[in-house]
Amino acid sequence: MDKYGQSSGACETVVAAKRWLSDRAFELELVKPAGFDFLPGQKVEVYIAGTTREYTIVSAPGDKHLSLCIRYLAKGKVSSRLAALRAGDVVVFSAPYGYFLHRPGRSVFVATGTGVAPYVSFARSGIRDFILLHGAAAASELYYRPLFEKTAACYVGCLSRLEEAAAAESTLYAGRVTDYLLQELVPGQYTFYLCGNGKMVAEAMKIIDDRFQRSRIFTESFFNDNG
Amino acid sequence: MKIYTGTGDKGRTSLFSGERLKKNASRVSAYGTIDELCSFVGVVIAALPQCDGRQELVSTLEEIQAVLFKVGAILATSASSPDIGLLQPFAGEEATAGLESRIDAMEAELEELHSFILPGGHPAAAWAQVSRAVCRRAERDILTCVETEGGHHGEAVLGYINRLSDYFFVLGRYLNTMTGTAEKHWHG
Repeated sequence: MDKYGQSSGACETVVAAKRWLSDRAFELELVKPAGFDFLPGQKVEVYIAGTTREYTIVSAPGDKHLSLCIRYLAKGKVSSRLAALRAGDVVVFSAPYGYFLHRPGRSVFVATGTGVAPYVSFARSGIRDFILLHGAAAASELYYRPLFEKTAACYVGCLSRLEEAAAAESTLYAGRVTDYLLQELVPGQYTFYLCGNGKMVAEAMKIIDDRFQRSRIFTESFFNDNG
Repeated sequence: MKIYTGTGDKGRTSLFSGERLKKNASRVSAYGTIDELCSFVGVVIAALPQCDGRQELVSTLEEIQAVLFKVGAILATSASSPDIGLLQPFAGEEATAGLESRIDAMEAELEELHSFILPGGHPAAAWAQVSRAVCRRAERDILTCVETEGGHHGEAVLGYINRLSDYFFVLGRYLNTMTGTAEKHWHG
């Protein structure tokens, strides 16, 4: 259809390594197929267990490997199969696609859980001067925190469970990302990127419409909980 | 996957280029009418008779739907946004020439027209005329969008949309001829 909107052709490669980010997510590192070209923020469709799942690329285009961020559900048919893969196992997936790409402007990246994945590729590709609001249920699920603490102009880990936040470091924000948008972020005109569960994306858009008028919004929602 | 998000409940929507607009903005009306047209093309396909050349018609109409998706994406990008660079340039002349050759091929099978005809006849022909009328409205909406918001992106698609309405007019006549359905002429 157009430059980035539609995938075409299937790619095949092998697993290079696997790195657990927490007990609920891991990064699957694949040997990058020759000529595989993508833009930070794009995703691929992985074909496995007789079905398909979309996963966001977390490596940078210039990296040697192609890495995917995968949310793990023990009872999930697909993610449990992917979690069982070992180095050398074959993985089949689509060409890269998607428009969740970085644009010029005062960037505010907002994510819940593994929704942080596209921002990982952004940061690894050299994008800087962004604000990142990352929401999680526990500090251990603030994935890629060291990377963002080095690369973001402002990194805000938001813990939705107050007791966890209180027990954790004081630098974390006790509340949801939407609470931060509503109460803390200085009003202004931004380019917002929202990636995560549909409920967060919908709530954040309402807040942005009210509080950050004339801002631009790019969204990537996921709703599936079937792993 | 849920289809509803609730993000448009207050009458606002997002452009491809990220801006939030009221749903009655001329740009939203323009790509909304393109969406409507694309849906009516689907109705034409669903109503096509089992006639010779049916598969070729299906291919052409599906190709038109794909072009309309591109047109929708172009119109959903604000006039000044560099995001238009993310989309392939619209090959308007090529697409328009493709329509013209199909119009010519169908017209070769038709009797010459000396008066207005009343829209109707075979269901697929009737839906083709509805598509023609919606296509004309899309043209007006795009023109309003271009005039109020500027931008050469919209202008690039106008020629194609103009020819597309001609295509649907001739398609309607062609389908009535192929199915042996008499045209009703209007003599005023």
